[in-house]
Amino acid sequence: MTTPLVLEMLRANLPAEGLITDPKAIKPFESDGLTAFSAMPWVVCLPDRESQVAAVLRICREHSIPVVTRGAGTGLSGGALPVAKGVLLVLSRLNKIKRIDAQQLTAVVEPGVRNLAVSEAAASVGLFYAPDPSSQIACSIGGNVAENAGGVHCLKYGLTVHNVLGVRGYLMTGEPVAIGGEAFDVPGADLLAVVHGSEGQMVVITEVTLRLRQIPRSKLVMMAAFAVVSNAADAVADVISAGIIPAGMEMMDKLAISAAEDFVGAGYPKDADAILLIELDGDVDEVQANRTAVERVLFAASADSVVVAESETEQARLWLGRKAAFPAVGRIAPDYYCMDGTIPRKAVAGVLQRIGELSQRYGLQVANVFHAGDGNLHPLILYDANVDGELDKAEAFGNDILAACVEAGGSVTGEHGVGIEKLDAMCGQFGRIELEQFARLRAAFDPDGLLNPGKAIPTLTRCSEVGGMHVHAGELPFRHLPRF
Amino acid sequence: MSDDSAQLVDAVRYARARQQTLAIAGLGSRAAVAPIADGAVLNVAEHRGILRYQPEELVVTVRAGTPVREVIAELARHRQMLAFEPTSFARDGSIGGMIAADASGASRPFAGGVRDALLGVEIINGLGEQGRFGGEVMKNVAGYDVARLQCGARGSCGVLLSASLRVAPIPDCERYIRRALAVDEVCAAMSELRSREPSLTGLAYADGVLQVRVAGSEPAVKAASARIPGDGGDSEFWRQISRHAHPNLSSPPASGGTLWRVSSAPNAPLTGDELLVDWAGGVRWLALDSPPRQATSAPGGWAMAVGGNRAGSIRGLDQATSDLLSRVRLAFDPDSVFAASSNDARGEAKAVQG
Amino acid sequence: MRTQLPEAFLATSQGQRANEILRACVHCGFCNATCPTYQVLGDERDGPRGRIYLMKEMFESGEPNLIASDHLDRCLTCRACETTCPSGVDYGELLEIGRATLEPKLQRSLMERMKRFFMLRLLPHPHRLARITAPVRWLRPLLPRRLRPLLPIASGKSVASSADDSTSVILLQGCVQRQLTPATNERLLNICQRLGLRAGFVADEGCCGGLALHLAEETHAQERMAATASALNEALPDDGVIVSSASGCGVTVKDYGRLLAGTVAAEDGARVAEATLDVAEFLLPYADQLTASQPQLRLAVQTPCTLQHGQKLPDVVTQILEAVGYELVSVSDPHLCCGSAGVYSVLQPKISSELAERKLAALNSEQPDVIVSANVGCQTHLAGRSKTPVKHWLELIE
Repeated sequence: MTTPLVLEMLRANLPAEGLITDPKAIKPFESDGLTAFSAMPWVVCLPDRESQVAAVLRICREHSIPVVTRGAGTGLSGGALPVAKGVLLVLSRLNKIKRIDAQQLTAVVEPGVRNLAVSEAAASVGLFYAPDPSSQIACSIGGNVAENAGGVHCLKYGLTVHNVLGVRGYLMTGEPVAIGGEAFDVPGADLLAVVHGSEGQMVVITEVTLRLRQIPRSKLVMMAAFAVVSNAADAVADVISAGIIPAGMEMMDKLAISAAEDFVGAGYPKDADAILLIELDGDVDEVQANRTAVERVLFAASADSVVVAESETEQARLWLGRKAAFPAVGRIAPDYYCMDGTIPRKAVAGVLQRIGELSQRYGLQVANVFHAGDGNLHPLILYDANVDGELDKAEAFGNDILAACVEAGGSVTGEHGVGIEKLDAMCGQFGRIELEQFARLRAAFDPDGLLNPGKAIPTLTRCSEVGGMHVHAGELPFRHLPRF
Repeated sequence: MSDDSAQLVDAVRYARARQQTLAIAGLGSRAAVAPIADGAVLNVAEHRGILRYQPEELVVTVRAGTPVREVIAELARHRQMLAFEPTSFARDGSIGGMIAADASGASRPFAGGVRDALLGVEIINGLGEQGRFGGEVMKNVAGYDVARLQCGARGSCGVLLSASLRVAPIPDCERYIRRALAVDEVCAAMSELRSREPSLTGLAYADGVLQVRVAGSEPAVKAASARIPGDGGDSEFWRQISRHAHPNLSSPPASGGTLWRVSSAPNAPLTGDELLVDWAGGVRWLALDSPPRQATSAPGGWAMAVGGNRAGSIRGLDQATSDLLSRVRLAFDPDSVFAASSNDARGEAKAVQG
Repeated sequence: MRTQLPEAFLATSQGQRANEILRACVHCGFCNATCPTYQVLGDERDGPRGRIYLMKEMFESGEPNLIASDHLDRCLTCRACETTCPSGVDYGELLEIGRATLEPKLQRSLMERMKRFFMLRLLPHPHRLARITAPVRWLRPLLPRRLRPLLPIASGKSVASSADDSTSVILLQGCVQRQLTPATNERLLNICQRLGLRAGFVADEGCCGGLALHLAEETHAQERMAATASALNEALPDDGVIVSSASGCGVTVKDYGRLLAGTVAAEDGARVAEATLDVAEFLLPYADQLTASQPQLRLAVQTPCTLQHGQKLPDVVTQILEAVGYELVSVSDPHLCCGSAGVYSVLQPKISSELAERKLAALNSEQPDVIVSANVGCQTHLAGRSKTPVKHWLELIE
């Protein structure tokens, strides 16, 4: 079968303006939220109906054409980076909320629905969807499932995998699958969990059943300022030791505070070395009781000040700075490189110190934004992409940070996914046995490896080239990809 | 406390080399309701002990053969508990069995189940290779979620060696409320409570009585129990269902037939024949002469026989998912070293640990 | 994002500015979430991030990109993306540069050119428009509702009270507003008089240049802006203010400082821009002296993009209406454009219509008695398809 014929088949199965073939028109799709990597796909498909998704997959399977699924394109690990000669299957038009069931506390949505749109739609019946990645205004549910997205409220409410009851979609063969649904559990091995975080390599999702929760009766946000970063880190462990699980517990360091403050004017103290944002929710009396307890812990941990926001507007303002922290850092440096390691809580102070040392060594500034409650670090390495060599330096710095996380007993990615970006770092976290097991598991879903190839799991060859986890400064880990 | 992992790896390799099948066994606590499969027994019960536990990290890592009761007792010394409510049968089971059987109790719809608390595992696959998946941190999306996959896998995806589980503070306070209710009002009452009470940890119905359990901080529990209509109850009902000791759950059922556990949409209408309704309506126990059909027709609904000659067999799996499960099993155990439970019609569900 | 703009382009002030703006973008995609056309079309290229990328490519290659042109044309310039953008990307400005670069190189169709001619040469000129439409005004009832505003009922008469030496508040009439909705200016003048303010209009006020800017007719826009800036500057006493009651005009005049920078009119422009306020912003301090003319009505407020995103004044109108005692119904997605967007409704009727329907559904969801706007464009665009009356909010104030 020749290429023009395949194009005709695709066109026949897609709506008007649903097949993009002109390279100039494809260009805006070459990167997702991580612009350090770009690749031009062969064509872009924009279906607006589920049946078209199945058709595209069938055609591609028949002709061994790789397929990369993309939602809102906000991912930060290059998970939706196109592959050359492949189809980029964009599901942004599948953006309907099919129903909100206030009795069963569920929402059934298409994959292109924005994360925040679910909570907005559910608010009128007193419900919300808990996972709230910082990109929740823009990121879509399909991508959330593919990356197992987290957010600032994971500590209490869990990740995406904890808040999804079922997915429907298609295997690469075009065969429909339905895993889970409206019941609380699935029969046999937990395939629903495996689909989460599989980075689009197992199932192309066309419908998701989300679990909704009641909006808490009462909520407050506290902000504590610390003159010493390690005191803030200790305060996090102390809060938990006191038996309190806050809805969210976030930490920002000096540089991140300053960037966010300049953008939203959230009232962050720019002279503090670190701030903690703590959200408590629940029944009115419970929140007040916890507030007293947390205040006691914070002051005992040498907080300089504690501000409590009770009104919705004040709370939103405090959170706004945190939620916009990543791009706000874009205001203080031309570019930033966002890392996503997790570490045990007890290692926080040590790892932060190590990052500080690395920052000096590489001569690159770093702003730390941190889901402190669940040990998920987001160091943002500042650099200037227009200066030759700075990106490479930033990447080497990033790899060193991830190595420090693994060393501390953590993981190279907490919520952004491996994508294309952390393949080498994966070699440090997993050995041959695990990597081969991953490959076999993937083949159970997609034997030809056509879905999002080259992401998420490194090949053994790659790992042996990298030589374990240590990528030394100056080494280019992604020689096969065009840079920018 | 002993480390048997090397012997267990050897045993799997030995069996594989000789094309033997292995039946993974823990403490055998579920043998009465879901018998261990045929094959040479691979005993994991001696591989036990708590490996790491730091209360402020909210994680405990234990060997698979460790009795659940032992873990609970250790956590309780620090006013903590497993972040979900494990169930067991009359005898105490092991951590490995709990995971393999996805033994999640009454708090499942509210606090989550085993899979929600499982952060990482070490397993031996069917090739006799020992691998570590997930970890001890709350958030971790490096690699596919092989850890959670093990929940409910009944050993089909490997022998569990150890697991890291999330723990939670023991709530300050727990209260029980009960109220007589006609069966046709149960679903509405349950969903009404679910949508407005944040402190629920149990919502069940048996013998014409709606059973409610709330737990949490003192103020929250007080506020909730003031809002929920009914009389004060006690913990006995909840203890019985978590130990599978409630009279309505006896197997074989007093009324004859086979005991079936049906997992369904919580709002699916009740027939009135349910022996017991748990999980806020999401689980119904029925005594049936033939496998249930209707109850499993809603999206995601399914059923499993507990005890009797069909023990462990599953209904409600569509062909595509069933095929997928087979392929996933083979991805871990290409030579089918781990024995399929003899009663499972589709050959997917495996011998039950525990 | 990394950029590689050609040296020649970087040497121009436009090129420099484009580079700065592009460098500020981190490609996070938040902007797509509040972009009205992305909501409707679901295509990366029809959201701000995609358009920025298309422009970047165009600047870098130095060649006009006809594909980019389609997608840039579909932008409403509502600037909701700027409100959302955490990195402070001046998208509107970049788009101006992008459109200005493209426009001279485009071959537009006859129909397209006719529409643009009408928009540029007739609509902003009340007298010309009146003269030309007078013979066919009887056709008005036969036109589809949404086209009716194009044929005004009567020629817009300049309301009396021209500015003189004693005037301290200059009221911008708005070339389209005085023609299509003269009641707004009349009411504003009454209010000012009642408040004891010496207010008046500038007799030779022409179009502020906003429409030409929208159409990327740079030369024409510069001419119009310079003339208006000069006329307003002459009439503007020290410590005087210029008040705009059409937020679409206000957003342009307030930006004269930047738009006219480096031209002969730079000084006039800066002074005029500095002195310009939206009417709501101007009246807010007088709120306790204002009353609701029909306090029994429940209102749905449509805050024009030019007010909330352009002038960054999302709440002023609601603040005044609430202060005088109106009950305001809640409206979902208040940040989304109604599809009017100056000349957009004529140039992109399909998308415009879809957005108007969505906006009306949001505005009407709680059955208000009246929908109020703060810009003549939005007001007439919505009025043409709404069963609920649509007015300028000033009409409900005394």
